[in-house]
Amino acid sequence: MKKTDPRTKLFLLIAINVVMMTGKITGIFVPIRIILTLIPLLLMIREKWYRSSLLYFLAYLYVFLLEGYTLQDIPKVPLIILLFTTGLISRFLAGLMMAYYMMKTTTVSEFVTAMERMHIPKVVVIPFAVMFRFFPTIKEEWQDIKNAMKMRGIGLAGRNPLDVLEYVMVPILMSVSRIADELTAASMTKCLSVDGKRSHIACIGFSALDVLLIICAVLGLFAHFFVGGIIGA
Amino acid sequence: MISFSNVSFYYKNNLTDKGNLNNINLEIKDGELIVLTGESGCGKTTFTRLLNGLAPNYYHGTVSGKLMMDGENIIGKSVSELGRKVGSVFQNPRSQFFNVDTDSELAFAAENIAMDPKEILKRLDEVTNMLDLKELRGRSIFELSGGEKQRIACGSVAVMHPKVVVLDEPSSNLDSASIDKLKNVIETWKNLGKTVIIAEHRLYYLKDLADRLIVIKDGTIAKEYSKETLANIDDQLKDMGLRPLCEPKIKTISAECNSRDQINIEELDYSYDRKTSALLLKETVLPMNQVTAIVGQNGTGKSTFLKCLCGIYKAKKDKILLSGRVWDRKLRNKACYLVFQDVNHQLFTESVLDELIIGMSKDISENEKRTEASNILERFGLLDVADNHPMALSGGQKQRVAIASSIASGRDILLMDEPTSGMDELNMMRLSKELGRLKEMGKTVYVVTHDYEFINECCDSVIRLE
Amino acid sequence: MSKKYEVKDLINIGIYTALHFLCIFIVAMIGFIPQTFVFAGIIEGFLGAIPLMIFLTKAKKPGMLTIMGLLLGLITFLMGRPWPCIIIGICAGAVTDLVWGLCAKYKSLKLAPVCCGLMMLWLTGMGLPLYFGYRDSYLASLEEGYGQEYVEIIRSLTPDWMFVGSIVIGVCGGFLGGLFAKRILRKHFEKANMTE
Repeated sequence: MKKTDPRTKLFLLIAINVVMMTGKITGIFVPIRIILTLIPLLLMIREKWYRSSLLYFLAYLYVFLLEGYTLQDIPKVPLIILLFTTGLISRFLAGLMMAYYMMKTTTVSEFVTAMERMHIPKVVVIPFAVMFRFFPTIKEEWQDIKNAMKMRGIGLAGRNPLDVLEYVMVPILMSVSRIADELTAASMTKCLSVDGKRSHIACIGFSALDVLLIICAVLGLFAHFFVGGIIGA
Repeated sequence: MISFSNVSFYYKNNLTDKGNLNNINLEIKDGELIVLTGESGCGKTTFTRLLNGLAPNYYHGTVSGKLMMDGENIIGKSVSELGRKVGSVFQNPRSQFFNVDTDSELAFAAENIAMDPKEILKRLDEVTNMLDLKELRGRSIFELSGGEKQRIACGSVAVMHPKVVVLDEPSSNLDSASIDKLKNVIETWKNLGKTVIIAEHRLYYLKDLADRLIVIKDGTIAKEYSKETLANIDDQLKDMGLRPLCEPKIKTISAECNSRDQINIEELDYSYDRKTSALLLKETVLPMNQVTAIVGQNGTGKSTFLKCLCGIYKAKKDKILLSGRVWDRKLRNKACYLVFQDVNHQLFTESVLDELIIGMSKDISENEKRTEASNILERFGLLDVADNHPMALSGGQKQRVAIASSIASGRDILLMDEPTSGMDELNMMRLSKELGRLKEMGKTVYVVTHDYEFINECCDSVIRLE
Repeated sequence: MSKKYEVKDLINIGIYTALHFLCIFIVAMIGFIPQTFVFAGIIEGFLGAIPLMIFLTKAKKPGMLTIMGLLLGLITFLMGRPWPCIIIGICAGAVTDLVWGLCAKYKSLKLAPVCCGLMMLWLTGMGLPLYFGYRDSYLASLEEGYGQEYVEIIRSLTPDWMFVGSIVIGVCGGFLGGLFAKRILRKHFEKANMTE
């Protein structure tokens, strides 16, 4: 199975976010939204993430069945909950899943390769790659710090919020700055430099599936911008 | 050949003399395996940094003297230039990876010098076979254990075919099985004729491999032992406050438990991903009012067990009795205190003294807290740093602060995860004595450790997790 | 000091941008609730300024903050905001760069909170769909999904002058956060000998 190209994933992410987050939800946009929603689902099934796929599917089923109907006769509180949850899921979930899929299935080196193919300079590529690599690390650190706070009985309750913020942020910042130092030292001994040329072992390239996905995304964006969408209006 | 002639290095912005090197003269032949040891802060790490160029290029300071490698003075050469010849493995497996997957990391250095991709792939296969990395290929680094990460770090170095390899305390976060694997890697390098230089405080695994052992004290070479004289120097090492060369064996400890109280674990089942159990315990009895060591190979869930026991982790099935009564997660969380393996996350106040005071019971007056905290600090040899910021301390000192604050918390059950990993002989003995004192006070201590010397020193019983 | 970038600088940019963004992202989730919409800006700024302050002590070369701004703009773009958000990000970074470099000479902590505030200008890219040409159609699309009431609240909270208002709020948040972060820096980082 050929992997999806990182550039395709980036483009899909942008297209999905643009259309789902700021687009309309009626008329021609119904099929477009459905297609764009299906893209992450297909990609996830392809990765055999069945559990996530099912949850994702159910969430959007709920959204497509109920979003946009103004149910006059139901009481206010459930209505607000309904509007709120459908709105939240419909706008964010597809993009979030796409971003998650991209993060999970793209290795740093594929990502760097793709960016260099797009002729982005190294002073942008390296920070971007580090940033990309660092989100899970921050999550790991945060988990540990949360556990440590629980251990020491330092909870949110009954304390000055600024103090709590300090107790949380200081260990995070300290360990982040330590990791930054050590990561730099290790990368330097592995010959990473700002101006040197690199080679790549990652094979990236567009397959038929990539092309198909890109066409879907382009159609979505086209409709969004020109057919009664943002700019056309 | 590598030769140091009158090499000195003084760190910039360094208030103490810690880590500096004074007037080093040393010759290292090609293919030699040199072990550098000494107390923490003696300068052994600086030694490795001079060789890979991180000092003075990254860790700034003033350097003098000549450091020749193959007829060239390498002082002043850039790190990336030296990186083609000198491979480096670091202490912390968590922070030395640029990539998030093992394959990319293995290829990373070679990619950085624009090596031909075909050649890189060839070398990847070669290194995979040589260092037995097959089951680690194509994995995410976030799912690897410390030992596995360290093997990948060695692999990524090996891909470059370096002439010289320097390792800075590579074993500090590893258990004995992982250390054995690390030892194999080092042996392979030695057999390939590479020059290997290792800065370490844990020495036993290098006993058969070392060509020379060099003891560094206050930045100078204090003692040099050749291969032939290594056999009987444990007493001398002990006098210098260093760990022994002989691998200690666990003394047989009577397993019988003479205290009245005990913890019964009827069932404890924990998994990270809902599929595979990371820990599954049934019908296990833990003795109380004494010091119990918990041993076992990596991946048997020792750390997970401690985290479940103290209630940080929520186990899927969790049935534990304390002296016959149900002892749930909330109660355990109040009664237990866990000292983490990586203590950096556990320290968050602005001074060592505050670190102890913040966790103390609220019923004691401020003055009493201070006196008590000072007493504890004195027993751990930390009184002179009481006003320092915990993060400004060395790894071993931080570990002692974290342990001291667990004692200050006054909880009845203390859990410690690898408390001696960064400790030299002197501090390990201090900790043993302190645990003895806790036992007399009727407290219960469980320690996860691979430090057999430490177990022999202070543990009353040993539990092995399979 | 050499003006050329080193590996250290690039890694620092990446790491602190990640942390800064996460801080803001967490608060932005809360900002989804309409009533907190306006206040979110101040909290976002406050929290985001803390890693920013530490980054400032490491940003000793021209352009580092501009690259950070560019990265933030790019993430905003990836999150589906209109493309001018990238330009806004770069500009926010460049302005901060100028102040931090020319006025603070890359070290005067007196001006650091101001720089933290200025950097928050990139957040305007996040709110962009609510203003200018995007506004009416964006609100109209919200109305279909969220109902009249929700949109009315948003509309009343975001008249055009609020564009300026939200910028001011973010900048103030950044400034206040910067002051708080300066205290942390003094109390912890300097004492721990962890500043350069």
